[in-house]
Amino acid sequence: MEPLRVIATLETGQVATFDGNLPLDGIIAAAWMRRYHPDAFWTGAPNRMGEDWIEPILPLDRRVSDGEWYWASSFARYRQLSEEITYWHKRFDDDMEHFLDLGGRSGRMNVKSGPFKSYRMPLVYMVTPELVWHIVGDRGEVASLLGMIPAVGKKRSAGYGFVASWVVEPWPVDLSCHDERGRPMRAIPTRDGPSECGVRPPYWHPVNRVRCEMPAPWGGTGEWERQG
Amino acid sequence: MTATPTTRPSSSYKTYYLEGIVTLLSPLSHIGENLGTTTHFSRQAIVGPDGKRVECFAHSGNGFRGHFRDDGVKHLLRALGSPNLPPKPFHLLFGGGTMTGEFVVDIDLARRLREALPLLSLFGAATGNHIMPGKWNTGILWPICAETQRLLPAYLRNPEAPSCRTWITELNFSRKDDGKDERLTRHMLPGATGQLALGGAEPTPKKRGKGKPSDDGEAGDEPAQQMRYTVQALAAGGELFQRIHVLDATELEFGALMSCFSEWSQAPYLGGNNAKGLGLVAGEWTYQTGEMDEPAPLVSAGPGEFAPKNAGKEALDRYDAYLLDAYERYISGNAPEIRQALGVSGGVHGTA
Repeated sequence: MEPLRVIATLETGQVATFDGNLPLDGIIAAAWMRRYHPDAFWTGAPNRMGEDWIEPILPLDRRVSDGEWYWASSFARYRQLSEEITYWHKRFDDDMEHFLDLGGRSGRMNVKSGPFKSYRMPLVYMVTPELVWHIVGDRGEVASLLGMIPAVGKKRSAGYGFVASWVVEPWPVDLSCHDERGRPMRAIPTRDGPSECGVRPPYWHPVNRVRCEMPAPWGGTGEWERQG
Repeated sequence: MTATPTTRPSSSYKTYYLEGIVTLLSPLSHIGENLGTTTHFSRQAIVGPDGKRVECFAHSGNGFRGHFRDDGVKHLLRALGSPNLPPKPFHLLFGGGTMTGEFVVDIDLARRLREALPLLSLFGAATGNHIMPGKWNTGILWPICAETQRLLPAYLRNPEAPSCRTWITELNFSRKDDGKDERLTRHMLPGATGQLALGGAEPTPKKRGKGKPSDDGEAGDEPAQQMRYTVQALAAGGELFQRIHVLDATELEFGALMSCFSEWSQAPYLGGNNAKGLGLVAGEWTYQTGEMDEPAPLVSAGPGEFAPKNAGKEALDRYDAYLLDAYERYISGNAPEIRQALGVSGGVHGTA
């Protein structure tokens, strides 16, 4: 294990994210699951931790804070050129009604509410040439797993967050959890922390959410500025 | 140490990286926003060749995916003898379903759906409160132009490429109110105006002035329902570039994607206003896996043309053979997993 810097150069520069965190251990965990437990990955995580819960064994250093463990992996840092909004749409395919069987009931579908509701959903994305992370881990293993990741962020299925290349390089200092001035570079479990956040993959899962100290949302200086 | 996203997972699944070039055979309309009676082409912000933010016209990956989902489902249902589906399975297949909160995460259900319907596995779906992720990332279609030089592969880069703004053309259309055309009004029911409801509704009485019905059946003084409007479009002859990732796909899932190309090639349109002849295209896609040193042709598709090649042809043949077998089992009542997935027997999704 050694301190590493990871850079993802983006194809278009578009990344859809609602909080801008983009934790790299979550991305590496997805690759690890796809490599070693693809069936479990594609069928989805179970509701609760039990016999069928798979905890990824990542090539990263493990840290502990206030009784909770987490991987030595920072949230993303980037120079944001702009924040944009676009929309995606979903509608009931009434033009395919010749395949529809209403069972003799009313021929009207309610597309204003209920299960067949039509959507025009806003999607916020940022524009940035590259994403940068700091981790402590096994360089070869991390590079191998990241090679399985062609896109990051939300709405990858619609073309956002496509990655052109990954660079994994040694870095002289460990900045995976705190920067040179001691400020958090990721969510650090803290019993009386101000926020509740996931601390390890899968970050979205309720079982991984604890009170945390968080990095400044748009703060930092120098190389670590999230906003240019 | 660098890594390009081409490493394959160590399992029986394969990951495919596709690149496509789509040629516009007629102007392409893809609405972003409306200003007055003009609809503007959709545009997105990206990092330009100089590293700064730049706006560029784009056809959404979500729209392309929607086209392909519908086409893939049509191919599937025709192969199964065109069954009619209850609304929920219908919406699951054509629209990806809905989060309803009726069920807890049902991993067995997701596994059965993936096995029974490779197409659904490829596109993903929501059933109950469980999201089954899809296996392909549908790239945005970008003009091959000055703004997109940074995202294009080396073989398409051209420092002399013109700006995409030079591709934009404005098409003007007129909508005429035939109810005001004296040569046609003789075909109208006396006293009728506006649009008649289908299904035997009574004609709406004509109104004169401030809502006063006309008693002579003559035209009232309401304004004519006609307009002239403008549609921004990308000019015919332009080319778009697209990347697609197909992650951890079985051969049947990859074949399901090929079936979408097959069905789409029967009406190869993108964008809107297809009824006016806009959006006719032809395209060629290549593919590469982690085992290949360089890309190989995958498929050519356009008006009257569908030519799957290499792994694309093999996967489509395998998928169609699977569907033929599924159909035979389905009509003989030996395909409960498919009946359940389609809700035809009142299964998990059916409202019946």
